[in-house]
Amino acid sequence: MLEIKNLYVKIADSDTQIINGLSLSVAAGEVAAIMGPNGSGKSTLSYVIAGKEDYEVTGGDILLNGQSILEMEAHERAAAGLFLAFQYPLEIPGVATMTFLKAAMNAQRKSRGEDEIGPGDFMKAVRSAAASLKIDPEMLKRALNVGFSGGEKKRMEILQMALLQPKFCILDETDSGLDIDALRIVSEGVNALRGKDRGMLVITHYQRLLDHIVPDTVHVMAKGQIVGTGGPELALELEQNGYRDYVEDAA
Amino acid sequence: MTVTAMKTKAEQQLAAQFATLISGLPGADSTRQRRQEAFARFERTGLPSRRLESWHYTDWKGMTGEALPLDGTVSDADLAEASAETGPLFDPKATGVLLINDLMAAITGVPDGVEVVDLATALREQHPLAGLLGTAFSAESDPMAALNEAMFSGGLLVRVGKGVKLSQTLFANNAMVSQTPRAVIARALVIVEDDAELTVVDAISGTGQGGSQLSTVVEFIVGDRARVEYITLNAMDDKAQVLTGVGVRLGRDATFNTLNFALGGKASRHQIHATLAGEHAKLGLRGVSLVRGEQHMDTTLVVDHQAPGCESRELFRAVVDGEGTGVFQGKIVVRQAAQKTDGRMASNAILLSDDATMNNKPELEIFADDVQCAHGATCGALDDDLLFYLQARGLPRAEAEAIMVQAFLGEVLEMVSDEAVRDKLNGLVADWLAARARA
Ligand SMILES: Nc1ncnc2c1ncn2[C@@H]1O[C@H](COP(=O)(O)OP(=O)(O)OP(=O)(O)O)[C@@H](O)[C@H]1O
Ligand SMILES: [Mg+2]
Repeated sequence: MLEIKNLYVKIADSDTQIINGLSLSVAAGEVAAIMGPNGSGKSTLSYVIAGKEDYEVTGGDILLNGQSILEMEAHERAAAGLFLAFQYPLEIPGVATMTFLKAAMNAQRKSRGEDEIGPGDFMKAVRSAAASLKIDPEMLKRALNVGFSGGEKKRMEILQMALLQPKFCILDETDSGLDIDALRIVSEGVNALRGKDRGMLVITHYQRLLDHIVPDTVHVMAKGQIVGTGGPELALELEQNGYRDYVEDAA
Repeated sequence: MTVTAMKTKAEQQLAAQFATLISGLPGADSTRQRRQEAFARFERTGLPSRRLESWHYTDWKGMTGEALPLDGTVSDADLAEASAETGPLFDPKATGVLLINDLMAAITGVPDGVEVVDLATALREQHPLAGLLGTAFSAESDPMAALNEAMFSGGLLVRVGKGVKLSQTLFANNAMVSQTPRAVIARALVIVEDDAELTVVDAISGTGQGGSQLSTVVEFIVGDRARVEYITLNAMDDKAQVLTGVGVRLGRDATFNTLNFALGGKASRHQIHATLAGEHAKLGLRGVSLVRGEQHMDTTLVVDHQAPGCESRELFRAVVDGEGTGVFQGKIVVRQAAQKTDGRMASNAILLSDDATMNNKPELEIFADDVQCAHGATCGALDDDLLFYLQARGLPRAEAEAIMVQAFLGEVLEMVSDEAVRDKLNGLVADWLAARARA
């Protein structure tokens, strides 16, 4: 479903190379986890897939369902079904959360040639998604993410994911900032979206998330490359030994 | 230093117009005398250019190729055009005055306790309050205010009687129409007596064929404990040259809030001179400017804290696109007597294109020692990271920008208390952004 072929990425306005010949594929229905030391390029990879313009692809390709997405703008990739849950969701002052959610849903529908969602259906969808993620409806009246706690922001990301029903989800450290109960609630939200047509890439540092969202595959990333791949047991092994072996390999 | 500069073509035309028109302009001998003094004052500077500090960013002289003929008459053809032109904010069911080229054309449902008189008539009949003209926006303060005082041909005099509290918004809709290029110079004097309350929406719109020049000065004399909300809209066509002045004089415990919404004109300048003359008066000045193409929009404020314990809040936001130029100059003066003044001024601009320009000049002149005053000015592009976040959720770039611009301006428009008017102003922002997205 998502195929990354020998990808090279540098920062657009400097020569700093961050991704160095990375290859990875995630099949439909698969949940793949990426683990790796700080600064190894995990968030960069997620941004590049989502279409952030601060980075420049200098080699390789990214395919979604067999089609290269490199020439697509970020909003076109979203309409094609890509979703990134940000490691650090942004605060947007003055934009009411509800207004934003509706604008996002309708923009995607529009670019797929569908009708706008009716106000009743919209309210119903938001209410039910918010209830299952235990998000206080009062929060939806506030400006998007402004003054939200770290955990509240992460829940809001998953709420958006649930509403937009993307085909391929990238979750960048969605577990950081979540308390123990929230981790369970959010994981249930993510698991509810697992399905045979949907792929997921879950970036995390900790096994505890993978206890809830059990991955099919685990990849180790270091210095902008995938340096190890295995099953769920690989995450347990990393928890024991750290990245020592892999970092030396990559060097 | 005396500079004897050659008169420009426009200045020569203005001198010729003044000489021809002065005998016919409304007002008794005393008014004529003041007009002559005001014109002499104007001629000392001529049309303001960059050399004049208060016009440093707006070269009005350079922008005024010629002085269009001053013609206060309204032809049948103009009338036909004006009746189709109800203006973007006008609510035909509401209480209001319809002006065509600043002449009173129709008036509906003036409430009890309110007097609305055609200014030319008021001057001719020596209305007892007409002497207050020029006391809130002095001809001495600015050459263009002097030119206005010298040559205005009409306008309105409004008086809201003591304690009269108007719950309904009053609309003044000024349609500028003309089959040929022309200039209109007009004035209004609004006296809000002690304990009275008034909300006015004052919109100018126009489709001047081949260009128009408009100069208006509206003066408010606000009595003790009186409250005024004044919303102005400049929706002139993109050939017009527009000068709008607002003079405010506040009594003790008076409150005056104003918001100027500017999106029209090839070149425009909105000037506010506000004097806090009574203790504990409260002033709120706000503005929204939407600038695009080659438009030039200037907002210039002088807030004069004369009495102690007053509060002023200034919040101006501009969005500049294309090759447009925005200007904000704000000066807060705190006189020695004005202890315990609380003044806060902010000007923020968003530049939507590389060729857009914003000039910000906030100034504080403080002569009292026990005051709280602050100002801040920001100017920059929209935050790319925020835009990316919105785009990653499926919003095309232009729509993401529109959402952020609406949020940016929404914080200013919030102060408009008439919900229908606020919705219409937000609608104008949305229209402007939609036109931009289509371009
Ligand atoms: N826009 C940028 N400008 C400069 N350096 C950048 C930029 N983006 C990423 N980097 C650098 O690239 C490297 C990879 O960063 P990235 O955020 O992708 O790491 P990460 O694997 O997500 O780390 P963490 O686990 O701490 O989240 C880091 O050294 C980072 O400083
Ligand atoms: Mg990261």
